[in-house]
Amino acid sequence: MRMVKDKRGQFILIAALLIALMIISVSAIMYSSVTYFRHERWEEYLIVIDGVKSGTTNLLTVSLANYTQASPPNGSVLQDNLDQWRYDVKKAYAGYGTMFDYSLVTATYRVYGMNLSYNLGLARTWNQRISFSAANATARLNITSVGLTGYKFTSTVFLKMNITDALWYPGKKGDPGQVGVRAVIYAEGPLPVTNLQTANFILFQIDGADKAFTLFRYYESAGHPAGSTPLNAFVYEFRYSASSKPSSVVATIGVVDTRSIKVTGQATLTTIDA
Amino acid sequence: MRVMRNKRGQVRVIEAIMASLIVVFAITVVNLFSVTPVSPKYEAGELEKIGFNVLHDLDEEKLLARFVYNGEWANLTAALAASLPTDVYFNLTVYDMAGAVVNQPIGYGTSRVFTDSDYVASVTYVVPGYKLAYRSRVLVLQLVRG
Repeated sequence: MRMVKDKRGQFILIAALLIALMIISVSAIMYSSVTYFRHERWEEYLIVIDGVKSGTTNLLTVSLANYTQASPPNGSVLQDNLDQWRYDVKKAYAGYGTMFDYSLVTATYRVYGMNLSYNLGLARTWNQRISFSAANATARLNITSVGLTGYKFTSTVFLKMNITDALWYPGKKGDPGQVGVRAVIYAEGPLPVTNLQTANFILFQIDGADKAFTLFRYYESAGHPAGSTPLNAFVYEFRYSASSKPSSVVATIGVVDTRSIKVTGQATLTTIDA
Repeated sequence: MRVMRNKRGQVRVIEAIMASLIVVFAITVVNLFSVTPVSPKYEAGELEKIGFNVLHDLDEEKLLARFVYNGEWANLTAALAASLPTDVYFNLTVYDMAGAVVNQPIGYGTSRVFTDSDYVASVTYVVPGYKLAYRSRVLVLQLVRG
């Protein structure tokens, strides 16, 4: 009798395991079916969304380049371009029922540890030790053909230059020495900008006069002078000849990055031994 | 005792049949909800993703706008050919916002490849401008697998 009871228990156990296996299998199939088609259906529209986002960032770049390089600067260039972009997006993706809208900030925001005073989405503070150019826009995208409304994203474009210090390299055996003015440059992120060449620096003046310079580029992990706190950043150093060590210099540097965004910075620097 | 054993066996057979019915029912319901894409449609979707990624990558590298606005069509053709899989044929047309074609022929593969193919994937990518000027261009990239 005892043996019979045990056998009955085993059958129930096997049945329960089979049912559990069935439930798990069916759940897995259902889940994969539902999630696959939820994503698959949107792939086509994700391409449109990514295309519009990428284009909007490019538009901000073009607008900021124009704002920083045109003379006189057009403060409404971003607004004008976004108005046109709204029309172009609608036309380019006509089959999707795409509607693009935007808003521009006119206020002061603290970004990357700095106060950026935006006007119609554009901000610029130049001729300072830390100088920058920035653009910001918040966009909303509707794709009416699939009922997608209110997809919101913010695009930012930014370029900052920090003129850090000036180093003195004494000459050997009566030769003239060199002064090295150093700067670090960041894009949005903030990400260090490391791809600039001599041609990107359109202006280099010392005490108001143009100076010929040799550009050195390096990552500083050891301090100048030895023992001081290192910049721990990618450094652009502009070296020029000087007959004697100046106690201080007024350095003015103008840079146009590979996106054509311009920043001009100015700083009074006390020269220290390298 | 013999009769009772038989009855028990019958119940188990019925249970097994019911369990099988449940499994069949579950699979039927799942198949009812799932609409498997037909292969060519799925293929076109994949090609669209590949095409968009290639254009997007060129844009991120700041090459796409340069090629388009400087009229570097040979460079653009070479870049696309290098970026796309070797068995994918393409044809790129660049339009201005008035709908006029502004580029020289950019493609890989004969026109027959496109006409003979049942499904041609098409990707639209808009480049708003270059350097300081806003001047939108619409890129339409057509792709087929050879």
